[in-house]
Amino acid sequence: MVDLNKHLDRLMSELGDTWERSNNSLRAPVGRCGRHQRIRIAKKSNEFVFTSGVLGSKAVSKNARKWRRLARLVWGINAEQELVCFRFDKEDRLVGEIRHPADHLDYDELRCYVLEIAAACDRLEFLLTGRDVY
Amino acid sequence: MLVRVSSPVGGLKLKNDDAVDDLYRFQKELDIAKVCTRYETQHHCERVSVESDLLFSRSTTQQEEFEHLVSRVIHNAARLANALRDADQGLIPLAKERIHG
Repeated sequence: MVDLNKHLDRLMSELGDTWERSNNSLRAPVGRCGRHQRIRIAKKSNEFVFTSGVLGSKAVSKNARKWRRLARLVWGINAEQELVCFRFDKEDRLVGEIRHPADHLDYDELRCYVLEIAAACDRLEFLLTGRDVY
Repeated sequence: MLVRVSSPVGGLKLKNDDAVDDLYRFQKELDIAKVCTRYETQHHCERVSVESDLLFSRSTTQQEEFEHLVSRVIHNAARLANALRDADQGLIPLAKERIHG
């Protein structure tokens, strides 16, 4: 069985003081302009799910025209985006997500997933809003 | 190396707001992660697929990881296609299944 806690301890020791951790949630620095991205790791049935926010439900569902345009854009981005997928969750938030079988997550995969999801979600958040909320 | 598995759902005319509404709703309700669309010039519609990626290393990737990925993608694509058909969204059958690697 994968010891997520042990992997996260190692990640924090390798990536340094600019990272913050609270249980299975991380706050990662992104780029060189002081931007950050929060990442949550949860176990759902037999998978680890890495999630990071891009847009809140208010911004997504402001009006029908806007969310339809956003949905078309996100599905098109997914076709080109490697590793991270963008999806709308049950609360209508736009989030980035990576799933991996829980029994087979090694440290290098976890490190790669955390860095990739932070960068991809922060980039899309910046492109859509210019802000740094998540 | 990154392995991408893609399972086609069919063609949808996403110019039609009802089609966008249904695809959005089913993506949420069925908890499907990577819904992808690519414009299909021949049929003037979007090619919809469910996809997923896996970091692949000959030395560390287990067969079970790959099996898990393939079965999840195929299962979710079938569920999405059934839901869209039940909602009377005219799925346009498209040729060629794509697997990227």
